[in-house]
Amino acid sequence: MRALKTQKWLTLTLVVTVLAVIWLVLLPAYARQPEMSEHLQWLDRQGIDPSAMYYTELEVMERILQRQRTESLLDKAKHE
Amino acid sequence: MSASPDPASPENDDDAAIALPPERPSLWVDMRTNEDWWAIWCGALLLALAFAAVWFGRPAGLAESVELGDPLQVVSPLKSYLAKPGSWDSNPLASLDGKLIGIGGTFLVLAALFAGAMRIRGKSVSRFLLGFPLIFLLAALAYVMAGHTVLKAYNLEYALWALLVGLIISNIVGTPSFMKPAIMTEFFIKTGLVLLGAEVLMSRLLALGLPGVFVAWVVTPVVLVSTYIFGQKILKIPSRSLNMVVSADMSVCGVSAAIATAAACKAKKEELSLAIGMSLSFTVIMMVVLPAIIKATGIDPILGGAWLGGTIDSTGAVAAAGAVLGDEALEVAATVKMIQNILIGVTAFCVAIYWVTYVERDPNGPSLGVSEIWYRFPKFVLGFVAMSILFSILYSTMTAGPELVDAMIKGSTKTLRGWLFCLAFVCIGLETNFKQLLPQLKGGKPLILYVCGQSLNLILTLTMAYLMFKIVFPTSVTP
Repeated sequence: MRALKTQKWLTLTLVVTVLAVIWLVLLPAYARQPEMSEHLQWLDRQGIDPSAMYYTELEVMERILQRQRTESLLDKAKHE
Repeated sequence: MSASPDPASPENDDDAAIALPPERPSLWVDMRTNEDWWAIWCGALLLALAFAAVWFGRPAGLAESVELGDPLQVVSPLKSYLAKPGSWDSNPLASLDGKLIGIGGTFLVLAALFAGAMRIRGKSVSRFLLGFPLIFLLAALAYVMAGHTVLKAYNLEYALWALLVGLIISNIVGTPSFMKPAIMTEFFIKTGLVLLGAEVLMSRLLALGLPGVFVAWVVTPVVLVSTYIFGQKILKIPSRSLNMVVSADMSVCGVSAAIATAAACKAKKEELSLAIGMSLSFTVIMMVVLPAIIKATGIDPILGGAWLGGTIDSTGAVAAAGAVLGDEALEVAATVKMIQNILIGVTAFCVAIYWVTYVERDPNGPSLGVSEIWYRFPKFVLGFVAMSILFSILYSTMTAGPELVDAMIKGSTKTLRGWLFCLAFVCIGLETNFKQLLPQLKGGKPLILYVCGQSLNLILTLTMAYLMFKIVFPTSVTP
């Protein structure tokens, strides 16, 4: 029983270590690659988060909607 | 995924002769005890407070500025008190920079809200409060993991990492018993969906005029229904709910549609996990391959954008793929996707109705009456639809409605909704055994369903986009 418990915690430690290596070493190293780094900066400049789940989470959509709103308000003001 | 009551199942014929159906609670009792109703109350309370904060904190002269065509910026006073970890590239602690107060505030709001709900529903508040902090910490960890810029760039959303974090704990050391009273997957999802309702703004439906409506609102239901029928009649997928969730997440808009549909058709947690896993995997491929095909074949950016918007599952991935083709494609793609996003409410409502009236009905029994349909209907869907209607009306009819509603969503409810979904996925992971996931993939049928449905989606969307943007309304969007 005790051996099983120890084995479980050892497995957890191993899995956490693997994840830590991926997130703290491999992913940052990949992000530093010139091509990737350029791509990430381009996404940032565009205001795009590719992991956005819904349109309200997209900065670029906010800009598009704001522009459309300003155009419609100006149109309305002109007509009045 | 719902806990709707099932009819009594008598053990033998003698019992059946004398067994009476269990007495149904009155509407009032149901409203005080049923989780679906509580999701509505909790969601509505959060929305009311969030809107009140924006309303009372609005800048002076807002109405005048709107009339002049240059609206003042509205910011929710709650914005700095509600936050989630941000993005990072080399040091994970950077994701928490300036966010700790917001994360702590979110924890307090959610802990107080659900503890209050537990108390009124007669459940143990102390047991909930003992387990909730650790679940919240795991959700925060999932957010930090999802915040790495490379993973974000590949559309690997927090749902995946929240699920992974929960699965690791439950499958290696087992979920500690003190956490179990705080594992409220359905309650978190349903409350999150009621909050999402406020983001489903109908006035945005016509953002691209009729062509956008045709691409997003005609093709999508056709693909959804065709894929579902294909899964049932040709592939003979045993689980109707898995069939429906895969069809919805593939045809509507990925993870958010999968969550809403799974809740509406009471899908199993493993089915939702599988559907989301497939959707995210295919999205990564499609967001790279589709723009390359569009460029290679010389399809023009507007048509290409509409095609991307109608086919790639995830909203963020649509924008990323559209941006590769240029600003026009980005705008068309993101707008088509936004119009499709709005379809979530209608999809959830129709799926819930179909489920209670057709799927759950005894095929040999009489047709269901209105009261039976009402009894079985997942009530939180009403909250979701009601919030969508209410906030669509406020958005369209109030002076400065767009500024106020947008500030509310951006400054508070969007963050809370994200946390609720993240908590729900941690809970799904904590309740799921790897072995439960494997049978879902039996024979590769869900995969075949996804591939066939997506192929149909690609063909129909391209055809409809071509007809709408190039033949019928060629000047609707001009370069």
